[in-house]
Amino acid sequence: MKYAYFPGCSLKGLGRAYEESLLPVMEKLGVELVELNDWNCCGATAYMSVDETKACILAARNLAIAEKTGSRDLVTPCSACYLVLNKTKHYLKDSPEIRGSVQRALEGAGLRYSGEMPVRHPLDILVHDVGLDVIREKVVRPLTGLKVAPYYGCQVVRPYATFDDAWNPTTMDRLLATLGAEVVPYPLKTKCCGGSLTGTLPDTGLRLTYILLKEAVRRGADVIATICPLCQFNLDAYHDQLTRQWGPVPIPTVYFTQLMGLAFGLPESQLGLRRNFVRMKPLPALPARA
Amino acid sequence: MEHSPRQIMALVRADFKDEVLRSRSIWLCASCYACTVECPREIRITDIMYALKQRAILEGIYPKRFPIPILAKEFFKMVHSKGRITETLLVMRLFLRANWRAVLSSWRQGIGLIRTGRFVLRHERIENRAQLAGMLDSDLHDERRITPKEAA
Ligand code: SF4
Repeated sequence: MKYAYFPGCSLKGLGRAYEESLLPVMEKLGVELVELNDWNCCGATAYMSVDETKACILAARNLAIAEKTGSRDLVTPCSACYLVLNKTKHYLKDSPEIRGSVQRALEGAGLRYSGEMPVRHPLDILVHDVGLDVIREKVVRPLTGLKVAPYYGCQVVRPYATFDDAWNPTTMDRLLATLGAEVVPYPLKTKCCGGSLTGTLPDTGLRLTYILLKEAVRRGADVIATICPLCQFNLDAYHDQLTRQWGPVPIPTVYFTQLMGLAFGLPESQLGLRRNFVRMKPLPALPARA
Repeated sequence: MEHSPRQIMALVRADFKDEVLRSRSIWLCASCYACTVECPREIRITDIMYALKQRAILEGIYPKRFPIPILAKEFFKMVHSKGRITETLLVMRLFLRANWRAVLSSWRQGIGLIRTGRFVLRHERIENRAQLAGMLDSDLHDERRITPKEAA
């Protein structure tokens, strides 16, 4: 299986542990991710706040480059990238005005985009293309006894995703259960993490972050699993401030791909787990086989 | 929050343009799409919030020294010049322009990022910056559009 791959800026920066764990896990499953040549920033929410048409042009350059690779699907792990690329696809279909501007921009640069290539999340690929049975076969170190709160955040499930439910998604739940983990009920799984408000307006943003962490602790989780680099950063990097303001909520937040890597027996040192502020406790040693 | 999303929608419908565009509340929308998916009238609230932000920036009447529009504009400029975002450099610019005291209160976080190898000081950039710039500027015929210079 081969896919075009758009990592996005975060996976080369604050979220590099996501890419560090995603690539070996996919390789283990025989999925080849081919990084787009000279991709640019997707624009995320900030760019869209300044200019809509330019935001679509920005995203369309990536879509055009992806289409040129001849792959069937484009895979993108970051929630913001996933949203913006899908949103642009919808806008190109629905708005003749935007389509016109984007076509002009692409033609001027010698690029083409038909509008057809699906933009998909790794979770979708793993559960629907690879399949849980194949994943189960690769588990050498089941996460038995590890209590995980599955946290999806907003932009992968809303409003464009077609592979899971907007309010009660379950793909990651099922994936984590396949790894042997105990998935705790986590009703806040699609609530907002605060996005960039944690940096711009900490009083507002961090409250949202705190509520998510507090609830995971209350539910008895050992770790929160996330699918988005911004969620991971918000839930992991502000514990100092959170503790000062509201008290400690000591729980680590890791990427679901890191948990997959652990279950597949990949060395911990190669999964980016050391990049966490709040580190996950090492898994207990496997009982010796009789 | 000055105005709830409901109030924003009501103000828009009643044509209170200035009140809406000057409101801090539109900038508080984190773009989580909860309301869009939930709205029984299928109002695309998140997209309306975006349209209001775009208008406020275009007309230059967003709340000054408010960090959220400053971040949006710094982001916009960095994408234009580099093609990619280097998050740590973006946040430093935001702090310098909006709230330099935040640098002091976040020093431990900065050290944590250095320790975990996530503090990037070298700009990420694309090769074909000229192509991207040409594409983004191709849209200038429309006088409603803004250039990075105006956004500055
Ligand atoms: S998208 Fe989310 S943050 Fe924005 S107005 Fe709707 S519910 Fe509020």
